[in-house]
Amino acid sequence: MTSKTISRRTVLRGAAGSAIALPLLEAMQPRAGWAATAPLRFIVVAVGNGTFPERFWPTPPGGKTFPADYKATDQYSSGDSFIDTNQHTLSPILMPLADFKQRMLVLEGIDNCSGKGGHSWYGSLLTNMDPAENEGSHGQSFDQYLAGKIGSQTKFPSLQFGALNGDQEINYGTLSWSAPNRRLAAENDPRKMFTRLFGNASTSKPLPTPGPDTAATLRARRRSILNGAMEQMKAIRSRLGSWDQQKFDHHLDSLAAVEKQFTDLPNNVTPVASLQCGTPEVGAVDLEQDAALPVICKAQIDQIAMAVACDLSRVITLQIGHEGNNLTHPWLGITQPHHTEIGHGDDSDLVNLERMVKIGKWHAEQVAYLVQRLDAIKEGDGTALDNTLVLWVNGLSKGNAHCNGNIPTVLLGNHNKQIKSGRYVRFKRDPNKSNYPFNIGKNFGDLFVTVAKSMGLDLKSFGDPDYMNGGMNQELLA
Amino acid sequence: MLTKSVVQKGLFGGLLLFSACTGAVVPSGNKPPDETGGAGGTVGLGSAGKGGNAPEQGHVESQLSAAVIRRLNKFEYNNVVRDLLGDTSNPALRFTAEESALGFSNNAAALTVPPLLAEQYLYAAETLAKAALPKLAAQVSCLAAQKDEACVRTFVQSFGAKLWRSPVTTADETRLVTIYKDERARDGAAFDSGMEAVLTTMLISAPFLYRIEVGEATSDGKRRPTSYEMASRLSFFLWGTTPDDELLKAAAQDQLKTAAQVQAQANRMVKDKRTMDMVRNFHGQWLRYGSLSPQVTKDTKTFSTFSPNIAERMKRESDLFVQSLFSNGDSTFQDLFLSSTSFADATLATFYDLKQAVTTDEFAAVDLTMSRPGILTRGAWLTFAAHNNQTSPTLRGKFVLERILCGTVPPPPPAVNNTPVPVSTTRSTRERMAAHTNDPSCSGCHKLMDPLGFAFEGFDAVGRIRTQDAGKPVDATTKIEEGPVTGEFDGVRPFMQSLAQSADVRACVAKHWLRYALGRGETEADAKTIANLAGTLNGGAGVWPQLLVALTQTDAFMTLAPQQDL
Repeated sequence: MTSKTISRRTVLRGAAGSAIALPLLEAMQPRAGWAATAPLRFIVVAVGNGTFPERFWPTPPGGKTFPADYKATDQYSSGDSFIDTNQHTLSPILMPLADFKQRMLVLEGIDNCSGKGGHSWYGSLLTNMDPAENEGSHGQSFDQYLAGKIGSQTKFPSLQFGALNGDQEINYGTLSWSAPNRRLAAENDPRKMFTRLFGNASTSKPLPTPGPDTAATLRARRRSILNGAMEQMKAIRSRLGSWDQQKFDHHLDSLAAVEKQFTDLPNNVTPVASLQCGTPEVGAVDLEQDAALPVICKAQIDQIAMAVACDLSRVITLQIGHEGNNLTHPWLGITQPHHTEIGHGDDSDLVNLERMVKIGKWHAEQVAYLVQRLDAIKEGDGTALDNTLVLWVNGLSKGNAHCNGNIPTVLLGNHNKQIKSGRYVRFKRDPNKSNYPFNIGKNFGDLFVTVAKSMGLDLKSFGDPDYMNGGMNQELLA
Repeated sequence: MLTKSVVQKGLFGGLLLFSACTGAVVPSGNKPPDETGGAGGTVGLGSAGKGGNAPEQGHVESQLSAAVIRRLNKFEYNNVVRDLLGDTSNPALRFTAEESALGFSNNAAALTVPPLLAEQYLYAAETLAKAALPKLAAQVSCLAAQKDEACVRTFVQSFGAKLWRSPVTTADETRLVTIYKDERARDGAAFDSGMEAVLTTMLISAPFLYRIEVGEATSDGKRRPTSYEMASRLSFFLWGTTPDDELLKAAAQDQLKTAAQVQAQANRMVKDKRTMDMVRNFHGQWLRYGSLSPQVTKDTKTFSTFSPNIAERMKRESDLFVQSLFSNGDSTFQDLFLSSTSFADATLATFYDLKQAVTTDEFAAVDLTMSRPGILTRGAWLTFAAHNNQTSPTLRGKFVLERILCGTVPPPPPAVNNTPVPVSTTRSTRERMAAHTNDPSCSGCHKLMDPLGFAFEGFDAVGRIRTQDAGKPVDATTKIEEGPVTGEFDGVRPFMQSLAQSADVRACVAKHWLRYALGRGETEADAKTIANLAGTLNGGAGVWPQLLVALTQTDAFMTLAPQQDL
């Protein structure tokens, strides 16, 4: 990778007026030599508490707003399958993405596994496998499958960003699983994420005093400390029972992953100095408060774009809140808790449904901002967005029904024209299936095998084979 | 990881009652209480198998029931660094999200260490070590004087043994000294820098982050925790923190082997104020009001006097209430549901419009009289278990079913509009919820929940007593037809009296304490223990600290469970 320079900084204004100083990605030079072989990436943005389906799905050409005579039960009706290119009208919630309509795919009719798990099936969004009963155990998530395939080419095999993804009940807030029951936690603090990304020994961390004062020395010291802890864990491990050993193995793998970050001179990462990156300054904003969410999201999305620009990782997730979160959205004039009051709101309460729409639109704005940032990174003849697939999903479809069927699913970018975008695809949902109304459409496994194919990976089935329904190659691949 | 399968069966030999609510399981309630108090407090699984709804509170055997090695959770980490390093900044609050399971944030199987947490442990340890070393010189004088390798060894053997809650082995000492030497060799770092590296290492090491239990063989072929391991079992259960000097001394003398020795320590410990940290933590999670502040907000138009300030005070009120149960020698099991004693300062008393005036800014004991019996009529729980603009008999009933009766109901079925009917000025809550009773697709499950919640209708959504609802007298009468506590009740007091008398409730309370004490879900093998603990709760005055001590005397606490797949 060639070195890049950033000529100036931009100052982004968050909702609370705090300044976040980050490099302006537009200023980066196009990557020489990547014109033909730019890396493909997969980014997931996940939100929770469901949506207002009638205001989420686009209107098909000549058709009516989904569905014309909308009732709670309609989300299970079959609906005719169709593929529309460019003729559909975006819904109110999707309007913030209007500029990217030609590069967007709206997929209707995808169930999350059995479709009937409720909040705790959030953890299955990327696994295509029901969680084991009452446990945190899932299969590996698709992002981690990809990290296993392409992660070794970057400094971070994958990155997990969070925004107020706080303490929660098991399975309510974990998207990425490296293996069954091995959750990957999200970093909620943009400043700490910056340190991870760009500063093995960032100046933002207080250096130990008196003593080593160079980044290389601090890295060596941390390696020494981590190695000491690992050696001892291995010694203790041999005396433990088999379940404890499994827990230690997980911990040891985690320590090894941390240690890798402190390896000297990572061979494919541009030194921080030449990027002139700055630690995100979020000013006096209390990052624990709901009102900070816009500031956090913006800072995290900026850093996702930076990570892409610097090729630090090609597999990235961003979780805004978590399933069942009770965040308020005061900057939207919404002070009701998202889950218990708005998500559970009554269908006849139009004021509440408008709140649901407002929050959905705000989520779409975050996704729009992300793709805008990616589109500002020049790559060959196009932009980083062209070589990326961004998947935006929700933990539930209709929030107050606690339904995991027909999950709102949007893709942006097209993996270097391998995915046909500008489309609204509705998959047939078959009410004649034996387990109606559950698992009657496509599943996320179908999407994942197709995404894998677009990345040149040969994946026949992902997760639970019972939740595979023919893939989506036909509908999605160019 | 742990590949245990789910076992679906009734425990205690009790009968399972699968009601008209598919997937729900409630205690049968039709087995008379026996002498040990082990009634038909039996809860089984809901629909198991693929795509089934995961029961939150079922009596399950799963990965979450595994007796697996326990690591410090956020609460414990903060307490330990406070007690050993004098750090009161609660650094663990800034760690990545913690997952709770089966009601508590200390479930061992749920507490894994993903890479991000491993990294956060490192950074926290660096900061803690740097800040603590000047202070530690007061305890280990050579840190300020000799400043040599011998001092490192002294430190590791003295203070290090406290950090790791057991003596440091020669091999570990050697490893730490190597880290010290390596650090000194780097850029000619000073002694303090070397010590920081040593302390940082100790703070991210397994014996600090975990409670390592290898155990020792007993004469009857089982394994029990060693005395050091038992010291940590006791202190983390009863205090939520590291063993004190007296426990470590007893461990050094190998005096924590017999039930009597453990009991003597437990008797001492439950009188210590650190037990109250744990008691507050337990109840806030069990009854869920711990997250009232700052998480719960209310509709300001409907409840203009409610504020985060009030929420914080309500939490304090309930904290003081549960503390009083454990610190007063005369409290009984019934007091949890029936005591009229509570605590308020002037602000809270005014908010509640208490008859008994409180004029100070300090919380003082108040007698709430017969109108507010027990913890479930305190503002914190009532406010937590309600919507933001109206009461919710369903939410309140669901929480009572799950947390007090150990029953489960499945999540609302997807194809049903299950949302609260908007507040009306002309129709009362009871009237608006009539569909739950009249519509057969609703009533199957709702009759397990709503009737339990109707009894609380005399309290609004911010915990104040109310007599009117939509211009009509409040209707807090209820008829409960399913579950262990059935009958017709006129208001909350007779309902609370019934809960206070119920053997099933005692079994359910005991089960939650077992989960908390052991950091795991119950297994079939725990049935007798739960029954015995429920029996303990039958006792008279001083029963709450007795329950804690009794928990330390159980087989589950006194022995190590074998680790093998079911």
